[in-house]
Amino acid sequence: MSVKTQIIESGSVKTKTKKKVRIHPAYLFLAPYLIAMFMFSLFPVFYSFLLSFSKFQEGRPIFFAAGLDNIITVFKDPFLLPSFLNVLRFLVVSVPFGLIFTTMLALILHARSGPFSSSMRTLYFLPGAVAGPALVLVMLFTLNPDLSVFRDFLRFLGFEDVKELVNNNWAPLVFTLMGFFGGAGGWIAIFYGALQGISEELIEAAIMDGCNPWQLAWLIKRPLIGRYIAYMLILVLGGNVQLFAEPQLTSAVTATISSTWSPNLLAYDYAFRRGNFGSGAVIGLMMMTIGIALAYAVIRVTNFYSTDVTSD
Amino acid sequence: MKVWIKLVSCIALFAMLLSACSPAATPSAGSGTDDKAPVTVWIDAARKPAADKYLETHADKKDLVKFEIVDRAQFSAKVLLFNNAGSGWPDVVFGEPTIVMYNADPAHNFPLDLTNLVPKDIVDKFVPGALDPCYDTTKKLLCLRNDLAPNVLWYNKKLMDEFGYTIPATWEDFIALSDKLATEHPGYVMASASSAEIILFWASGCPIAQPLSMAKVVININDPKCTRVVDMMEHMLKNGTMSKYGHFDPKFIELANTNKVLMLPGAAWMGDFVFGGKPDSAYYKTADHQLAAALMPKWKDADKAYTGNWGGSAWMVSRHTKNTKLAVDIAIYMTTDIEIGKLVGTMPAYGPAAEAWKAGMDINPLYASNPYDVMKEAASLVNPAYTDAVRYSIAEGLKPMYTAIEQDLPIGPTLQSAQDTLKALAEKEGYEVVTQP
Repeated sequence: MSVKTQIIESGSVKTKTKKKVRIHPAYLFLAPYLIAMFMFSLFPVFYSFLLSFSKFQEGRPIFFAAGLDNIITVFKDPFLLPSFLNVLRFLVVSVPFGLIFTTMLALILHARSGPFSSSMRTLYFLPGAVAGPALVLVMLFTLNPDLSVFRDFLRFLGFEDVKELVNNNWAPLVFTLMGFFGGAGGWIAIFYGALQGISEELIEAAIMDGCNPWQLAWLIKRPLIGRYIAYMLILVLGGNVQLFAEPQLTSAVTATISSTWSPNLLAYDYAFRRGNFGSGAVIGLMMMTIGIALAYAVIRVTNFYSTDVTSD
Repeated sequence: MKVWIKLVSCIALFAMLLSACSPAATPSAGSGTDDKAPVTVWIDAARKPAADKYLETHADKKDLVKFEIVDRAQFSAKVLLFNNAGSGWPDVVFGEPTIVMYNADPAHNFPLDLTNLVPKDIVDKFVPGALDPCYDTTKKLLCLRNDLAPNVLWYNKKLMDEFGYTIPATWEDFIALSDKLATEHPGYVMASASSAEIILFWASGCPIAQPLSMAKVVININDPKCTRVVDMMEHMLKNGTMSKYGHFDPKFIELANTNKVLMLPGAAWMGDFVFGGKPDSAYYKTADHQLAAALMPKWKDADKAYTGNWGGSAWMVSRHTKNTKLAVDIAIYMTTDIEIGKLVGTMPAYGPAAEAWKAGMDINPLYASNPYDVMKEAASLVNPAYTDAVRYSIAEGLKPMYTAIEQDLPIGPTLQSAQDTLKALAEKEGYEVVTQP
């Protein structure tokens, strides 16, 4: 990498002498992404940072007028800690569940590739095409023993009413199920793509050495797609901290789930119910910080950016 | 290193740009005297026939007035965004008085004061009590009521006659009747524990939503006016005559479908829209002249048979409108036109429109007797010691109580937690919370 940059720099030095500005083609290809990233990721982060120190009058910001008031408001809020604890409970269930099951499904599909496997991949992908909130509603109906197509099964398990299943105690698992079917298909496709990249010789050699399908999946294929799993871990951690639609919609079904169940809902409540965009922005930044910290931890623990060359 | 300098200067530039375009002038209010300015009206889908009727009868305004169907749950958030942008507000908006009051706080500051804009003879012709929820704590008229939704005691006349029961006049009688029903006819219900804050707490005048001003509210769920309701709920949940399921829960609908609902305190609109008596209606599959309404029972030591309001919407005008006259005229037309009153289906708030609407129930085979007079009287009996037009969600604050009901646990021990939650929610909205007025 560093070698390459040197080349680019020396190249630009040469052009400077010709007094001609040359933009390296790489930047042109990167431009659409960089512009979008600036407009929709970096700028909003910067703007929330500004908002978190702003006072609001009739919903309009007066920049830097609030000092630390918004931050103090958020930390004094009795609903803040419960919301973060709720999301922690959700992470503890949803992250391992998501990682284990998507990896497992991808490995199983890859073990017996063929028409069945490719049609199943499409099937897993389909729920992801439905918008999140709609999927949550479908799941709410599915979990309702009065309305569900699986009502006999739910009754067999002892559930007579939707509230026995959809409530605060079960929430982490219920939200995990709701989110899993929305996102799993995409990750299965990514993992499958990664598995396709494993060289045929390696797999053949493993089989020749007496690997059974389980050992092949667990000992050969899984470590080879490890980086993709770490990548999923980073995105799922960051995404799941921002849990929103699931608790918002289920709070209408059961009294045990409050309308500020997760930090994102609390931020929404501050901004759009009360017009305090500043405190909403503070919570937004808190969630972002957590997301970045978790991503950094994953990168450090898994040696994410190390290449085969540097690790030698 | 150089990259960092660039980044920092970029950020500084942006900060300067932002502070340059930060709002300088606050928009002026009520100065809309431009008769040619277009007017945008936000309505829900059910108001579409009324909107069409307006355009039909006001052909000359066709190019000026635009009706837009929106989700009014998003309205408060949209107002904040419009305030933020300094433009974009609708001129006339349909929504519950709760929404009106919610958007009257300093952060939203949306509705126009109609006190001097609506002629007094029109205000006087509204059903007595109808406009009460439209006045703020300083007696400014912020909306015109579209329809009324006082709670009444719905009952099944046929079943009552069959069982030989009389309508309970007091809540004490109501509780006694529940014991009788539980022993003589188990399986029948007389109430639902759901939405108790609107139906039971409001009727009792339980002080959990009693604003003294925009910044001060009384919240005391340990008051006897609350605990007597809680005691009644615990008693009736135990003897099985109060369902823990909500009015629209499939479990409750099943009870109604099988004629197990003897009586049900509920909103005025439930007659036409929930009991129904049509093959696709939620409660009664056949009309059969069985439904009747009575006033809500009275607590023995209360001076009146008070009730609450479950919905009942209103029209408000934006203080940002450029064409005040036309905007106010639309709000007046929508609330007072007799034909529109018939079109919409719920009880009109405007007296003459309500009288015309009454005739429709005479011929409806659902009713054993016309419930209109009861509804009209109930509208004037809405307990003033309680209002849903507070800025915090009462239902959200009572979630500890509803959690206990959901899980078949005693309610009493959850009251302190409900008090704390209500207090915390109100304080977040900037209220000072006191336990005595």
